[in-house]
Amino acid sequence: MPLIDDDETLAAFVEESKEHLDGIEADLLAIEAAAANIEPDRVNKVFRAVHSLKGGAGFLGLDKVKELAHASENLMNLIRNEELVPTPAIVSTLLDAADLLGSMINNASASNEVDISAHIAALQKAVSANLEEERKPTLEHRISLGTPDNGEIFQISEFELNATLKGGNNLFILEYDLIADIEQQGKTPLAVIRELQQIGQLIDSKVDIATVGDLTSDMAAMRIPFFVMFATIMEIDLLAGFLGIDAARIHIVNTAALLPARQAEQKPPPPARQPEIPAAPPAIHAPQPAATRPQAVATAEPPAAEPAGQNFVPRAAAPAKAAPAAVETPQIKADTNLRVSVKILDNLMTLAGELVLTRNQLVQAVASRNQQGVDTVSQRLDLVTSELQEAIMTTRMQPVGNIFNKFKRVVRDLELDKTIIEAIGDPLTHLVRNSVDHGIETPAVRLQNRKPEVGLLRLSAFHEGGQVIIEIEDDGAGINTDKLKAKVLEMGLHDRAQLESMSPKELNKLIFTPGLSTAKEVTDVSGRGVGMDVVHTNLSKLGGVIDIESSLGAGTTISIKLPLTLAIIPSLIVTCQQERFAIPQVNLVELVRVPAGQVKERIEKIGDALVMRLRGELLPLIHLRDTLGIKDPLFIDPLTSKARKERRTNISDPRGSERSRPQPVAAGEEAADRPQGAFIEQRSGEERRTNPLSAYNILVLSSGDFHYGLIVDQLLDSEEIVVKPLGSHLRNCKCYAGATIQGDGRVALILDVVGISTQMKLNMVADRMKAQVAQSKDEKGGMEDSQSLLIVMNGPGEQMAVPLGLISRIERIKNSDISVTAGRRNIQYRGGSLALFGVEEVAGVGMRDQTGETCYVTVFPVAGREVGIMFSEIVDILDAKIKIDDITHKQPGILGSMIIFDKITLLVDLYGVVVGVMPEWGLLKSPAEESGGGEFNVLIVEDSKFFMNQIQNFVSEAGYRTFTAEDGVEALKVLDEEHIHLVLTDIEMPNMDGLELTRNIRHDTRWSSLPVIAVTSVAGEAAEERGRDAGVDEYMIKLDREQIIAKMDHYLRRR
Amino acid sequence: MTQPAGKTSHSTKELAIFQIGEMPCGLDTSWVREIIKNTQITRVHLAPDYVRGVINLRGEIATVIDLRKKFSMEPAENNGAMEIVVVRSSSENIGILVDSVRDVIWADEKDITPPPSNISGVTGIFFEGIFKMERELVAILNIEELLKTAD
Repeated sequence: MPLIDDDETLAAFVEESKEHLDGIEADLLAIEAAAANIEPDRVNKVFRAVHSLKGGAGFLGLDKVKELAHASENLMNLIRNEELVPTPAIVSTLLDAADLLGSMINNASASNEVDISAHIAALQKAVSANLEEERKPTLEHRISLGTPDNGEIFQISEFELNATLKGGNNLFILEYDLIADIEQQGKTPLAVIRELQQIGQLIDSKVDIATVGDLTSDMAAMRIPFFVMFATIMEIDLLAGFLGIDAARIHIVNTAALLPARQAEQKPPPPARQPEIPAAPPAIHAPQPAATRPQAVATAEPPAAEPAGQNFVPRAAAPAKAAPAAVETPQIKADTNLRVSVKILDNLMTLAGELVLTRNQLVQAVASRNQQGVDTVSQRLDLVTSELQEAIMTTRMQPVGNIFNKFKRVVRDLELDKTIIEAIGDPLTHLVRNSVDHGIETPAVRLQNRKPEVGLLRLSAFHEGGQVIIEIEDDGAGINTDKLKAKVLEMGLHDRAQLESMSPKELNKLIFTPGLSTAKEVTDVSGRGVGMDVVHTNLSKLGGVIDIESSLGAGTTISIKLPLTLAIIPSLIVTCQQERFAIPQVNLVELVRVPAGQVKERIEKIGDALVMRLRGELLPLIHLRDTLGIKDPLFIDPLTSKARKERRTNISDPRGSERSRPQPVAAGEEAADRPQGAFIEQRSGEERRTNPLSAYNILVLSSGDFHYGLIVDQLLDSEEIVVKPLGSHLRNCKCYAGATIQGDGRVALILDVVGISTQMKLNMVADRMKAQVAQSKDEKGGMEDSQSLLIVMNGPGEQMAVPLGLISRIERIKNSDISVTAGRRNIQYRGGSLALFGVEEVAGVGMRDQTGETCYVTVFPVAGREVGIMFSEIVDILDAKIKIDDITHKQPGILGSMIIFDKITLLVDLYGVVVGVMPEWGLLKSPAEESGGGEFNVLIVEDSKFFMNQIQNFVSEAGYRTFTAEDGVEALKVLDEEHIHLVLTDIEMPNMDGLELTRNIRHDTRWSSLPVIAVTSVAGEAAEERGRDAGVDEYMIKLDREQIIAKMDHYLRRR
Repeated sequence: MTQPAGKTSHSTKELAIFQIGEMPCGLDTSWVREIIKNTQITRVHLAPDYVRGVINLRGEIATVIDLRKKFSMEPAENNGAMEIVVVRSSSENIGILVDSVRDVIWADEKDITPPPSNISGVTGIFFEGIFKMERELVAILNIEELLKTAD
C-alpha cells in the first residue's frame, strides 16, 4: 500500500513515468549498439529517466519501484562514468528491469507486491562484476545518515556514496516541511522533486509520518517533515536561496567522517564551509515524557463526543497513533498569526449565521412558551454548536487535517486553479496574439517611427484590492480610435452622437464589439475565428473586467481584473410557480414587461416556437415553467399572490381568468414592479388581460452569440449570492449552475442560462427566426408604420402617449422641488433651470395627479432650449402599430387619440403644449418666411393620413408651399409635374417605399441634387444606413417639427 | 440501546433502524451524520425521479433521495412527517428520506444473514443483509449502492 493515498498525485506520477519509460527501450538498444563508444547524451537521458522515476516513487511510497529504479540507476551510473562497457548482457538486464518498471507503473498501487528480487540481484551482480576487487565491499557496507534532530533517516551503500560524491558534489540532507514549504507555497511534491533533479542528484527521499504526532499534540507546531538526500555541487547558501528553504534545515553531510579510510585517501571530500554536523549514529531516541511535549496538556482535551465514523478523524490516524512521535520536532516559534483556509472560514461564517438564526428561533420559542419549539431548537442548537466546535477545532488543527488530506486539498486547489487558468488561458492567448499582430508594428514601420526595431510585449500579474490583475502591455501602434469609429459607424453599431459621448476608454473598448476587426487583413496569427468579443465574453463569464488604455503610436495596455473568488455573484431572484430561482446578472441583458394587452403584437409563433418582438428584432421566447417541465402550472395572481390553476395553455391567448376584483395591494408587498395605489383603483374590475399587472415578465438573457427571452412569474430582487455546488445526483441537470442559500435559509437554484438554451434547443429557433426575419423583410410592402410610444398617466385615469423619438430623456423629480418664478414652474436642474409645462395648461384635460411625491418629466428641445412636460406616472414603453384618430380628441396640445391597453389614450403634442403656453418660442424663422414665403415647394410623401396632416401643417406653418403624395409612385408623378425644392418622405409605404423613391430621384439627372429628408417613426442605425445608401440626405423622426424645419432650412438655404 | 454486556467479544454493528413504508431498514450508524426533521426541501425539476430535492444543511447543499422511489414503492401519504437521515458519501452529504427513524441497536454479526434470493431482484442490490430482530426482519441497506449515481 503506498504511503500516500492520493490518486491525483499518483496519476500524475504514472503519467510522467510512462513518458520517461517510453523511449528507454530504443535508447538502451542504441547504447548497446554503440558499446564502448558511449554517447553521453543518450546515456544521460536513460539515467535521468530512471532517476526521476526513483524520486517520485520514493515520495509516493512505491518502494519496490524505487528500489528497482535505484538499482538500475547504479548500473547506468557506471556506464555513464565509463567504468563499464554496456555489453549485451548488461543491456538485457537493464531492459528487463525497464520492462518490469513499466508494468509496475501501469499498476502502481499494486507495485509493492511485485517480486523484484531477481531483477535486483541481476542488476547488483552486473555492478559488482565490473568493480575492482577492493571496491566490492563498498557495495555491502551501508552507511547511515541523519540529521542531529532526527537521527538515522537514510541508509546508503558506501559504493553509492562514492559514486554520488564524484565530480565534487556535496551531500545534503534537506528537511522540507510538506505543509509550510510545499503545500502552502502552492507547490506540489512532484514539482519539488523535479526542481531538485534539475540542480543535482536526488538520492533518496522520505516522508516522515512517524514524527507527525497524534491529534493531541500541539497543532501550531505541526509539520510533516519530508527528507531528501541530495547531492549537488552547490554550496549551502546558494542552495538555500535556490530552494527557498531555511538554511538551518539544509544539513550538509560530513562525508569524510563517514567513509572508511581507504576512501578518504583516494578522494578527499570537498571542504565543507558550514559548521560540520556529524552524522548521527543510528539513534534510538526514547520518547520524551508526555509532559514535556509542547502544550500537549493544553490541547489534550478529548475530541467532543463525536458520532462514530465522523470522517473528521482521518482514516490514517491509526498508524500515526500507533507510532507516537519517536523524535520530537523542535519547538517552532509560535506564530501569532494563523493561516486559515477560506473554506474553513466560510464554513465558520455559515455556522455563525446558523447559530444566530437558531438563537432567534430559541428567543421566539421561549417568548411564545412553545415547548415543542424549544425542544426542536435545542436539538438544533446542539448540532450547530457541535459543528461550530468542530469547525473551530479544524482551524487549529489545520495542519493535521492536511497531513492526510493534503493531497486531496492540493489537487482540489489545483483544480480550481485549473478552471480559472483554462478559462482565461484562451482569452489571454488571444489577447497576446492580438497585441503582436495588430498592436506591434512591423520592424520597418517601427524604425520609421523612431522606435526600437524589436517590439516589447509584457505580461504581468499581481494582486490588488482583492482582485487579480493581469496586464498585457505592448509598445505598438496603439488603437486608432478614428479608424475604429469609422468602422463602427460603417457597421451601424452606434451612431455619431453615441460615439461623440464616449470616453477614450469606452472607445477603446469598442474593439470587443462582435464582428469588428480593424486589422487590414485577417492574418493567420490572430484571425482564427475568435474575435475579441469572445475574449470579452469569456472573461465576463468569470466575472472579470477588462480595461484598455492606449495611446496612438505609443502602445496599448490591456488589464484584466479577475475576482479572487468566483463563488459570489450578483444575481436576480425570480419566481416561477412560487419557487425561487437565481439568474446570474452576467447573463442578464434587460428586463422586458409585455402587458397582456400587447401580447398579440409582441409575441408570435414560428412553427411551434414562441418569439418575441423587441425593438424590431425577434427573440426566441420560452417559459421557465416549460423549461423545468412543470406539468400543471398555477396562475399566480399578481395582486393577491394566490395561486390557482392556470387556464391558459397558449401564451399568445391572453384569455381572462376567473379573477375576482383585485384587492388593494397589501402594504409592504415586495413585488419589484409594484404599481401606485391610484393605478390599481382605476384598473379594478377590468379583465386581467387589460391589467398591466398581469403582464409577462421577460428576462432577456444572453446565451453565447444570441439572446433569448425567459418568462418568469415574478421578479423579486437582485442579490449577491454565494454559489454552492449541487450534488453528484444532479450533475446531469444542465439547467442549473448550482444552488444558493437565501437569507431565510431556503435553497434557491441558480439557473444556467446557457444550459437552458441548449436544453430547449434555442439556437435552432434563433436560426429559424433569422431566416423568417429575412423572408418577412422581403415580403414587407406597404405595412403600417410602427410607432415607439411612451405611455404615461397625467390626471387620474387619464392615459396619454408621447412619441418616444422626440424625447431626449426622462427625469424623475420631486413635486416639492418644483419652484415657481414669474408664474412659470421650473426646477433647478444640471446647474440651470428647466422650464416645466403641464398638458392641462393648454388642453382641456384633467389636472395632473399630484398625490405622489414625485413626478416624471419628459425633456426635449424647443427653440434651442430644453423644456420639460410633467406627467404623474410612466406606464410603459411600447412599439406598436397603432391607428391614430385625429378627429375626436384633437385640440391644442393633443394630436389625436388611440386605443392602448383597451383605453383611450391621448397623443400629446409636446411642441403644441409648449408653444401654447409660450407662443413666442414657436416663431421659427424659416427661409420661406424670410424670402416672403411660398417660394419653396416641398413635397411630402406619406401614406398615413394622420402623419400627413401633422407634417403638412407644420411645414406650411413654417411658410412653405406643400405638395402631397401617398406613395413613391405618386411622388414621382408630382416631381415630374411641379418644380419641387425639397422632398420629405416616409420610408414604409405601399407601392413604392421611400428608399425606392429616393433611388429613383437620385437616378434622374434632373433631381440628382434635390434634398431628400426621410421621416420615420423608427430610427435605427441599420435603417439609417440603408437610407444613406439609397441617397437620403437626412434621417428624421416624424413629429419632431423643430428638427425637421431646421433641416429643411439648412438644405434650402444651401441652394 | 446500549451494547449488551458480555457480548463484546462478538463483532457487533451499530444499526440505525428506520421505517420505509412497511419495511424496517437498518443502516450502519458509521454512515449516519445526523437525522433532521421538518426541513424545507427545495424541489429540483428535471432531476432523476428518486431525487426529492435539495436542502440547506447548515450552509451546504445536500441532495435528498427518496428511498420509496428507489424501492419502487408508492409515495407516502403524509409527506410532512418524514425524516431525513444525512449520510456522508464520498465528498458530499446526502439526505435519505425515510418515513420515521425508530431506534439505534447493536446487532450481532452472527444474526445478520445475506439477503434471501427472492429479494435479489432489481431492488435486491440495495440490501447487503437481513438482520433478525426479535419479531421482525430488518433489511440492512447497501448505502453505497443506493447512493450511486445513474451514470
